[in-house]
Amino acid sequence: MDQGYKSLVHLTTGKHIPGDRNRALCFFVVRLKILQYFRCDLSAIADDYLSRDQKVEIQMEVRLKFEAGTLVLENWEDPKPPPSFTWDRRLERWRAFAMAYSQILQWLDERNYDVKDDACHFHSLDLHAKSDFDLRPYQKESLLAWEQSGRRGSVVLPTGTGKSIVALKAIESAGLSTLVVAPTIDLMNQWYDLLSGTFDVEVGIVGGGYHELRDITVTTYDSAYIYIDQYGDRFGLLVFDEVHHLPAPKNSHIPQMSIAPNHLGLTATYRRLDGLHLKLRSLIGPVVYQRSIKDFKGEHLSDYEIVRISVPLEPEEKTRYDEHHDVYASYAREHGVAYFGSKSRPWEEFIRESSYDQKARRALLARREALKITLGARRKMEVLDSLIKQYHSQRVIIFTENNDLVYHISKNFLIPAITHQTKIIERKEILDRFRSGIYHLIVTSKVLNEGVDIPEANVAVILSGSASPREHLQRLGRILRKRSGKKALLYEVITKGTKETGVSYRRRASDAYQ
Amino acid sequence: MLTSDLVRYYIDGDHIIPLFISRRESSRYLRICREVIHIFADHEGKRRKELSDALEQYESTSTDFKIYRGLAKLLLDNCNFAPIWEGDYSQLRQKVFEKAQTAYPIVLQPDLLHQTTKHLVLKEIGEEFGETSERLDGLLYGDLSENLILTGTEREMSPRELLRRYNLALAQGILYRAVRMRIWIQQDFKPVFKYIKLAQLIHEIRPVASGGYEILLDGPASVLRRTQKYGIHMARFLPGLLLAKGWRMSALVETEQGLKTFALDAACGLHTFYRKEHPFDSSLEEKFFTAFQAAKTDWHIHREADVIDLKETVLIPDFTFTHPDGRRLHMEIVGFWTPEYLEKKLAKLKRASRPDMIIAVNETLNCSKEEFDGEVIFFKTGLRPQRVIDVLETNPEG
Repeated sequence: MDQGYKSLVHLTTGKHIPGDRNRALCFFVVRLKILQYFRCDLSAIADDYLSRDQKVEIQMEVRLKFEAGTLVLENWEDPKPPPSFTWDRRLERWRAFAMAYSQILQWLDERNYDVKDDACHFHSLDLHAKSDFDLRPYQKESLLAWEQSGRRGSVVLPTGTGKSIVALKAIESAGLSTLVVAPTIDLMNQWYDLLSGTFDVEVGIVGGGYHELRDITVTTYDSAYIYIDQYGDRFGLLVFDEVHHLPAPKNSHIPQMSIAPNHLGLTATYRRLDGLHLKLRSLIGPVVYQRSIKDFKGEHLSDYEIVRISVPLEPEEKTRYDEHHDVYASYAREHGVAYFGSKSRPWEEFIRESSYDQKARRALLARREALKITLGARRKMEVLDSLIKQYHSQRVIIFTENNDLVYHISKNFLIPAITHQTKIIERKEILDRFRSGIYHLIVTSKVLNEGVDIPEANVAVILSGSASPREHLQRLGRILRKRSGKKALLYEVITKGTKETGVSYRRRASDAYQ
Repeated sequence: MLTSDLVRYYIDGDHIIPLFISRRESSRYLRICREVIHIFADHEGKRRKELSDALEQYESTSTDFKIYRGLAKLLLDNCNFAPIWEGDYSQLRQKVFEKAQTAYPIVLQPDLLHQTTKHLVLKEIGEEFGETSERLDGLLYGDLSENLILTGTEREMSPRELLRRYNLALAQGILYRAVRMRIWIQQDFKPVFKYIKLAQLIHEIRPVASGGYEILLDGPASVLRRTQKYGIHMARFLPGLLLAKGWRMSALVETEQGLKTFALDAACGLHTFYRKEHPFDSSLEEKFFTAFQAAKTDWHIHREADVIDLKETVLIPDFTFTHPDGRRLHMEIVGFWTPEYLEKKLAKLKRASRPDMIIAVNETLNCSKEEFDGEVIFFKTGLRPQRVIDVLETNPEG
């Protein structure tokens, strides 16, 4: 009896039975739950079972464990595993990606297995938004569509239509520990602001020098890729901002290594040129709701006016510009490199060349110098000066993509600056003060590019732009939020007679202007 | 370590090969190392921006800039920076911007209507902080990384050491994109497995007929998809592999041209900066080893010569004894240790449950013979070879 009693006790604690190589002993069926239900004397039962010389079966509880971004199945006796599990001969166990979690639980349940779920470390949250959002009809529709598709899938809405509001409601509705993944540190910070302003919980941050895990945590794709194998069991909902970043090979680890049953993807630009967006469906679910920018014209976005100001370089700047530009241009002509990064002849090839060819390298550096001169042209500062005089009582955002220029402007006009180097607390404080009107102006680099939400701004000054139409479109979107009856103003200050003009022309072709 | 953009390599057929700085080129690059180290030393007490400008200037004349930058990166990792002023910068800025807001607009060109310039504002705030407006101007963003001051280095690095680190970092950099790594070792199992464990890699071990082991290394999810996720772990492990004499490795690396092989061996000239521990865990073991070698017996004693695979971990017995007639037995010594250590050790030995394992236990330790599966020898202060030989001779597994 002694030996048998010991075995049972070991079963209840889930530990190995001593000498469990003796298979005959292992095939019992004792449902512990039933035993507990009948309040049987365990030792008596054990005695009873083991005194018989016949084979009795004990089916042990199947145990699910989270292990480094994967699920491990223990006490599985069948030579055929449940779907998506693979035999890991290195450690001799059944293994699947953590993303199989909900599916496997259901599968086991349908077959009446007793499951000990040691994988799940997320929990329910009773979340209430501090203030009630007045959802627009399309926001309600998208939320409903997401809920009806099992809280999985992507919502595709143009920038500036309040995707983040949909996400906040989705987080509230799911009521589970949530990880929000954003493409940049600045967007992550923005989500931090948004979430801590909406829910009465402390929001965690992983990335950008922070490593604080909470029930609601924000992170970047880069950090999530690194840490998901450690924390993939801690979240029930994953929100992917700018979800078109997700199908990249590295980023796709994030949903794969997480047990979260719920996913929400957000983007204005779902399709990827490389076609990888087709993978999104299997990673986080289908597109559940979609609207294009044309559906919104004049409705939810405020009207806007674009004013373009070209300024010439000063003679001294022009001389320096020409010098540098000539170095680049003559190389470019000779070697067929297109002006300023157009892809007509592979730009990457040129960059590669510059790593071993002295001439190409000089051309690259010259081009950089030339660009620098046009970006920070003194006349531009004069234009900015007069714009500030004109609009300082409005709410003005000054964009420039060059960090040095941001700080130059900040120091010379004493305007608060936000760049990727700005710490999260200071950033929040600056944005709060901008929203509440303590600050009327802010200057920022491209950090506020994707989806950052500053509804109060009604004047934007773009001091230098990049050639990417999408980027530009999204920048515009942010400014173009509806303000009661006001027309938003967008100043684009460019340098005349330099190659930067060409960039701006190309940008105008994007459909934000149509 | 290097950032991936600084890793230099070429692809030749099925192979990816790092562009090491060879012995032949070393005199030229030793000079460059010396100069880069010199630039760093020159910038102690100066702003980081000045340092990076100087480095950029230095590299701009050459197409070798990836090497220059790589060397600089390794030195930079070894640097300490601090802000010039101890105060709270964000508070200072808040004061300045708030003040400025009440005085808006602040203009570059004062005119009849707009007369406030930044200097007027800074002067007022400066009085509050007891600083001049010029100094305040400089302090405003003193906490930005480019404005931090280089205060010193973690440790001195000679040009030769820098060059060695650079070559090692190149090899590590190629491993960032590795999906799997295969290594062969013939000795020094203990340090190698220590670093495998530290790097959190999963091993699959196969003994090699000619002696030693072939070990396949990757990570938990590697059985589920081809992934570079553990490449960085393999990179961290590499200096540990270099601790073994006569090592060899071959890694499968994802490149823009598909999967390529990255092969290295002990003759490649790389140097590790990880340190090998003292060969013996305790003086007891050392004494026993020496005494056994002197003892009159046909048994040969080997230190840490076998690896017993326990899947999640390995057990490397302190000693392995071989007899000319082919018998082979292991011994693990459980000496004077903390209770936690002992508990872990006992669990490990239990899991191994090898009948060819002899365990020598210090009698003063509180454990009974039943806790071990194999043969147990108890000893008090020292372990005499003859007692072990007696057990070796009687062990049925031998």
